[in-house]
Amino acid sequence: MSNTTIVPFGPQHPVLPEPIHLDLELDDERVVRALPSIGYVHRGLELLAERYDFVEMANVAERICGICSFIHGQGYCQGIEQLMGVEIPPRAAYLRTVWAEISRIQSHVLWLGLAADALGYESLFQHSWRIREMMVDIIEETTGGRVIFGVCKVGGIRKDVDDETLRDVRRRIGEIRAAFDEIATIFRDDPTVRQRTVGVGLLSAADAHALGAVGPVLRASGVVHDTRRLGYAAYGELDWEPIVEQDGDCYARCLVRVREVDQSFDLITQCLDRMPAGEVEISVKGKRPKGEAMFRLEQPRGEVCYYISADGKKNLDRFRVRTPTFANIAPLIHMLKGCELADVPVIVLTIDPCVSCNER
Amino acid sequence: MSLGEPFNELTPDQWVPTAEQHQRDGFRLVQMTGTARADHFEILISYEQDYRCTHYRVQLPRDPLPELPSLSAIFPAAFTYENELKDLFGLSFPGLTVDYGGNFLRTKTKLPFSGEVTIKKESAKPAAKSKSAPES
Repeated sequence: MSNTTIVPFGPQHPVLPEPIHLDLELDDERVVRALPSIGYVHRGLELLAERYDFVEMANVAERICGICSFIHGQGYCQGIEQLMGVEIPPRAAYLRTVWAEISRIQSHVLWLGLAADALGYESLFQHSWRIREMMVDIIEETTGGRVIFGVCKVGGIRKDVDDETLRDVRRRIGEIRAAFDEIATIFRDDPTVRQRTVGVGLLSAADAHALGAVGPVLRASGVVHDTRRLGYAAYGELDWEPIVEQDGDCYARCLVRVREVDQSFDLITQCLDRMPAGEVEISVKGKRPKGEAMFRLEQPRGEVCYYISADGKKNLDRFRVRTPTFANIAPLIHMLKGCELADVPVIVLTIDPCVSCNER
Repeated sequence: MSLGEPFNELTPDQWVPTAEQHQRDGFRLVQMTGTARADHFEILISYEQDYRCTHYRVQLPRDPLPELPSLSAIFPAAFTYENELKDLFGLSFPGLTVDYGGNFLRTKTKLPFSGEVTIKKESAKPAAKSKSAPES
């Protein structure tokens, strides 16, 4: 007879802003195994691509998620543009890169705030979100939106940003970076943060590779893999290397995100310094996507894949999104096995689960 | 970024040997997905090495009950994708190492993608008028 106990974790839980459920099988306080279930808020957005005009579908793609909204729109537009053989103007590619990196910063800083809250640091949570708010202000001033950017379109971007605004963004990025450095020190060096995260939720490089981990989860296990190395948008022209940590624990995943925020500040600065002049969109009038392809981008949470199949009509034949959170479920189940019940929230949080993406 | 990455057709009996070969060569399983067609299901799988993907597609007739050997013993990452395909399309994966028995995706409708759900039923809605919208 089994002496294990089943403890439900979620779908509503203080560390989970969105619903995901885990049945935790416990032997005393130790997790024997975790059974995930998802689908609570599945919206069927992929199906809409088969019914909506491919130009308008860019707006739907951006609404897959409220945190990485811009990058979903970017990935969709980039996929359609490649299927149509359209090359967007360099200025549009650079502005897309700037917005993508701003998205990465606000996503990572949002996560750092949630992590601080889960660790019991209320004030650190508030400082993190104060800094995130500064990034969201830049999003609002350059795009007009705070959650949904609405600037990405098939053929480029909808709205140019004038050089004076870009200079102001560059100045403010320097100030925000200095403010971030203050809280980054706490995430790096504070003994309580280290005590709750070092050696917790271990994932080796071999397991990360075999279980299909992506993004900071993969890189924190010592695997050098960042889809931005494909060189899409302006990434091929910028100087940067993937951020990698070796220990594969919750602390390493936290460090990767802290370092990636710093790297994103640097990438934005590089883009602003090299910003090309010229048009920001190219007409796609009369063109239709035809063929099939898989496109990959690096979201804040990791590699996202878009499969697009089109037969030259106004609507797509099939649109499929494999989100990073889905890819990180298998590694999460592996990490939870053998951990203490008290560590479960921290481990779950360190994959930065985005249920909204997952339930597209 | 994927144009130039091949999509190869496989027969169901090539499904496992192809996975074994890619596992031996150090590839990573990137994704598995399905598409419901009128008389068959298409299963698409992607492997990646050095930032380059190779895609394979297999067609499974709807009748008899579609099944495909599980790749979860070769690529542990496959079990979540196979559970998803099982819950959305009703596919069966003999040899699935971690089988959630239909409780992975708790959708209101059972097997929502198994019927005609993913098949186009209507023409596209017109795009809002703008300079760059394609001609109707």
